[in-house]
Amino acid sequence: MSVVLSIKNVSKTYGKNSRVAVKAVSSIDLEIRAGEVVLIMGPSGSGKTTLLSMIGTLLSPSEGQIEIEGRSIIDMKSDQLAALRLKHYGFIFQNSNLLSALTAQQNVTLPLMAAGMGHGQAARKAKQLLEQFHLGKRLNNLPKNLSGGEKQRVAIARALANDPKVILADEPTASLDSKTGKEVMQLLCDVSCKEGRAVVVVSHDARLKDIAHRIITIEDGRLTSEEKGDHPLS
Amino acid sequence: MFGLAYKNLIQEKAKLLISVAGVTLSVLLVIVLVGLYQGLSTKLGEYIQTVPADIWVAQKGSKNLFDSTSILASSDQSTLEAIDGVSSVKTFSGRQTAIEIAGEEKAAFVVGLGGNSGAVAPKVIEGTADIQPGEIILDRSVKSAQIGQTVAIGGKPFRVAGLMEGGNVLIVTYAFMTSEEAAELFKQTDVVNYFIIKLDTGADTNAVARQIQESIPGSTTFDRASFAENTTSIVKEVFLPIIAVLAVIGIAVGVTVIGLTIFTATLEKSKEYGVLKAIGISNSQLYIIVLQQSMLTSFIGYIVGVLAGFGFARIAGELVPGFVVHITAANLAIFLTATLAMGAVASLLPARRITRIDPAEVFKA
Repeated sequence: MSVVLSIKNVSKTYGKNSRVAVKAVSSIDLEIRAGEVVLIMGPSGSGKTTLLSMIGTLLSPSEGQIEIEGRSIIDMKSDQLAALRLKHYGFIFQNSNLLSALTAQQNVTLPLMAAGMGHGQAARKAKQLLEQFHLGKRLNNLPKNLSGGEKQRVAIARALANDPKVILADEPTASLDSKTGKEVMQLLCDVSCKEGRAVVVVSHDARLKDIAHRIITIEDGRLTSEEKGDHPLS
Repeated sequence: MFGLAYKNLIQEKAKLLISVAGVTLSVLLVIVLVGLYQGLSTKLGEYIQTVPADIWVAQKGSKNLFDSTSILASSDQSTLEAIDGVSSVKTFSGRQTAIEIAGEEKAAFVVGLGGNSGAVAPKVIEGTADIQPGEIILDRSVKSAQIGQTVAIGGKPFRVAGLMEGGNVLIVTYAFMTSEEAAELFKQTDVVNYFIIKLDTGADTNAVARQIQESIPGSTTFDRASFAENTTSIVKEVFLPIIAVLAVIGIAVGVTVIGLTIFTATLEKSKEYGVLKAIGISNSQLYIIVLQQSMLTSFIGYIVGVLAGFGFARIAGELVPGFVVHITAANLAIFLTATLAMGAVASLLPARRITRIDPAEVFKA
């Protein structure tokens, strides 16, 4: 499997003054391959989310290099990074973070249209994606009228809309019951692995080890262990 | 992206209502003020435009019908008639005075009609325009004015013989009596206020005007349009600065209301805007969403404001005599442009807030 994301000696320090500076992530090296599910675990405050934010180009590293398909993102301007995120990344958040004024279908249509697709084509693709996640009858529902699991499935469909190379998920099961959480993640990983997308999941949820190819543990901003997950193909 | 702007707006109906109400009030205020200004200007000069004069001759220093008194010797008429190019010479006398009606005093600009007067009879809607000595024509808007009623000017009684329309222009109300009685009442037996000149066909207006000024020392001349314009300039000088200040206040109110409501809505949706930034929507695309919200609010407010403005003008016109509002299609186009510009300005503050939203914040629960 080809390397999609390459993280080389990446560190993040908050605060410039040496007395108050806090090193959240320290010299992490990591490679993530297409079709791979990587689970990042670690205690609260260990730097998992900071690392995920840097991988997702939402936060710039203090040191080191991040490359997506061989292209460095370090010197990119904010508009270039936004365009990169729109086309190459899919984001899934803890509370789904759907836009409350839009229906399920419109939430999925939005990134497609922002990427330049016409409304009709975007709506059709959004419908297909939502049907794939068994939400064909919920297309016109507002987020407030969807269950937690349904919202997270819409969020996954939104993340997959522009056929990204990388899916980044931050505690995606935190607001779901265990059964729904596992179902949702299984669905995400099935779709992503089948289509050769890399999935990086930050979570405390140990049950997600079942769907991960690799499990990385971070403590105090350092990568402390890397082991195989329980995915049958890991 | 317009869909999101629209959905965001209608999701917060109360906020939308407040924003629209703010713009509506702003547009209403500006429309009524500008319309009133234009209405007064048009109406004030309207009567002068109906008087068949190629040249108005006035005493030097007097430039319009109302705000300065022009006194000329009646004997100058023969001098004027002898000037080459002059076809006919008539007089025009009128003065601001108080009319006592039903125990109350009303201010009116009394004009002498008939005889040697070149004043034109007004549009009488009840009674007669052909008045006799002892009779008067009043505007129908003069409270309690009725045909046959007796009013008094300087202690002398007059019977209301006609009621006219369009003679009340808020700052002045016309009244008409015979020119002989007007001269007697104003003690102007040997003097007139203006001469009204009709020229021979093909006569050079400027050349005749120069000759008049040379022949009658201390006189000045105006063509019909400039005399009417000088008269309407009273409205410009008195009201325009006030209208400008109030219009600026109106626009400021509109910008503030839209700006604050959109800003508040933006703050409340900070997390959603953060999500949009995180998934790759650029700052410029987000700004367009806020701009669309602001412009859409402004447009709705404009439509409601225009309708309310016309409604208000109609009701006010019926309740307050002389409340004349005149709005043109060009005015409406300018108001629309100004309202949309107001919306664009109001979107700047929320847009600035959006650029400061950190997309990484969305990873915080």
